Amino acid sequence: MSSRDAILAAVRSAQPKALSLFDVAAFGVGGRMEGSLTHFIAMLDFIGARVVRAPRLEDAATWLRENIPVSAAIASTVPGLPGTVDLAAITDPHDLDGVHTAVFPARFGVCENGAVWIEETDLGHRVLPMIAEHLLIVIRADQIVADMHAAYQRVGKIGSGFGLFLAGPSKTADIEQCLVIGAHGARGATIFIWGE
Amino acid sequence: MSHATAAHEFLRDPARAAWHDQTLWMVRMKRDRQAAQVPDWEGLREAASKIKEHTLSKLAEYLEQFEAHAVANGIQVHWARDGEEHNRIVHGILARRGARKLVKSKSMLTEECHLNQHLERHGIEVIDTDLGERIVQLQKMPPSHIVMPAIHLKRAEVGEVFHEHLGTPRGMDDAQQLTEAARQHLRQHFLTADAALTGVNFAIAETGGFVVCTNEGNADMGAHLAPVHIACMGIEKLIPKQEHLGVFLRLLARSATGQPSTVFSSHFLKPRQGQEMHLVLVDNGRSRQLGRVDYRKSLACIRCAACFNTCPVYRRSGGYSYSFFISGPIGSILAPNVDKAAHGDMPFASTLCGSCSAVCPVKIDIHAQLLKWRQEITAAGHSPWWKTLAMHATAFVLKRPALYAFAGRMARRFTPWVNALKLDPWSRSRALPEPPKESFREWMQHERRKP
Repeated sequence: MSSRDAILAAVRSAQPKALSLFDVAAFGVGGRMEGSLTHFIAMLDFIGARVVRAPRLEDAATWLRENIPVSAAIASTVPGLPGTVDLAAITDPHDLDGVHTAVFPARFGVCENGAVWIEETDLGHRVLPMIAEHLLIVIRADQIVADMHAAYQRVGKIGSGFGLFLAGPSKTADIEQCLVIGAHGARGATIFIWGE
Repeated sequence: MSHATAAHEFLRDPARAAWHDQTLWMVRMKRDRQAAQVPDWEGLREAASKIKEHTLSKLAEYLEQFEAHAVANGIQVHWARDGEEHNRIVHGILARRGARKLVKSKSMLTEECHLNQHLERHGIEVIDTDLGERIVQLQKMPPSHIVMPAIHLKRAEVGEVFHEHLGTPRGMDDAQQLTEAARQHLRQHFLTADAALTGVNFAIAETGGFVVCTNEGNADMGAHLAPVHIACMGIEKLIPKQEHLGVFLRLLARSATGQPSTVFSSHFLKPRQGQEMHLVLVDNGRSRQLGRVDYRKSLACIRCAACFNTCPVYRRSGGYSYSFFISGPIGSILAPNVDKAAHGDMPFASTLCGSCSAVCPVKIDIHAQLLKWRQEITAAGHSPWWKTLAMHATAFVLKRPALYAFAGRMARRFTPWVNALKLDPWSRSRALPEPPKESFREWMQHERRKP
């Protein structure tokens, strides 16, 4: 008997009588959270992300010009916000080491934890949000959901091969519980909220 | 070494033990603050518990469903009956690719299977990439906590480890600088690894995908750069639907570190273009535990370690006082399933206060299971001889009222003297109250005789 069949047989003989499935959709109203841009921004602040608000997406170009050094490598997947790195020409993700700032869109944000949902198709390379030193994530102000239940309703069927909830810059507290921003991923994350 | 003996060693440095206790209690309080901000936290725990119970009751079906979807997505699925088979599979994948260096994010399963040692024997370099895990790996030690592997170490000690292994200046003890040194060191390994291995927090039957949660981004750095990604999971990590992640991701980080969410919650569905993705499903005793009615619920564990941080015994004895790689309350109900004799004293390393069960996000009745294991271990003859003798002696006395009355009289008279000898561990650090002059029975007899 193969290991697969042996394991499945062992599990089958050990598992109890089938129980019915809990209905998450009917999960009590009391357990759901309210969502608003104010909540979202407060939570981003709490998790160490930086927030920039502007009327138009094009204002992000100004922000980049004013905040990122001229010589820095910028990798952008946002149309209208050109970077300095030609992402289409990169076939090996290792070549992204050295990117100063990655610019990409988020589909929506989650108020309860400050996370934003990103799909592979918006990144070009899956490793982009981790390998870059800094992140500029652009999101439209009305693309906000209250909590993670609403978030998964919104995610639906993931069309690509990879998706990610990203909540602020990478961090660690593995040394004496001292919080350090910038572990292996980005050292800073700026959420650019436009279109209010 | 028994837990009590090891804990005695740990407590030789009272200042350090107090620091350990307070550090973990701080994490517990952060968890409380986050839990309080979620309306109906208890309802959320109940939902998680119900989903896990349901999944375990149909685990075989969900495993098959998961496998079918994962394979359709281009993931190569492997099955391992035990740790040895798991190690053989992982080594086989690496050997076929001629891989020499593996970067690994946190996976308690690979600790359970002793994968690192197995691969190193075959000449493969294994780099643990979680900061805490890397620190203890350089020390050639196991993690002392499943979420915060180096929680027992002081900054200066980390500085010494990095000075010796990473060449940082002697005496460097700033957390920011030490983390930066580790970042530079590990980035070189990420860029030169031949393969990456990650654990799995949740696997979703309806999509065939899996979710990996980290704060550092180390699982993603490894998996998205290396040409081969191997994900290893115990068969109990399944959940039926993607929408159930909404329940579990709300609970996981809040329970683990008191954060509203981990920084990276990565959903892997398909290998990236040109990449090989493998998934290893491991039983290693889980189907046995599933068949044990009293202990089945322990398989619902999502490895958040909230029970560690709240446990008065764990906080005051440290992870290395336990004989199993998963320590703390949850480890103490998982370990006897693996080896009752070897880990027989772990369920006794508890006050049965029930705090573990109260914080568990999936509502495992940990303290009740601890008590059941105690009974089972004792019945199987794995308790120490002196405890067995003492219990038999107590039973003998309690069954004989006259002997009991006599023993009580003797105890009231001589206990203070015997305690002065400090033979009983309980009396070593505690002063017992003065025994009463008479027993309740004697008092009743006096009262009745009164007019």
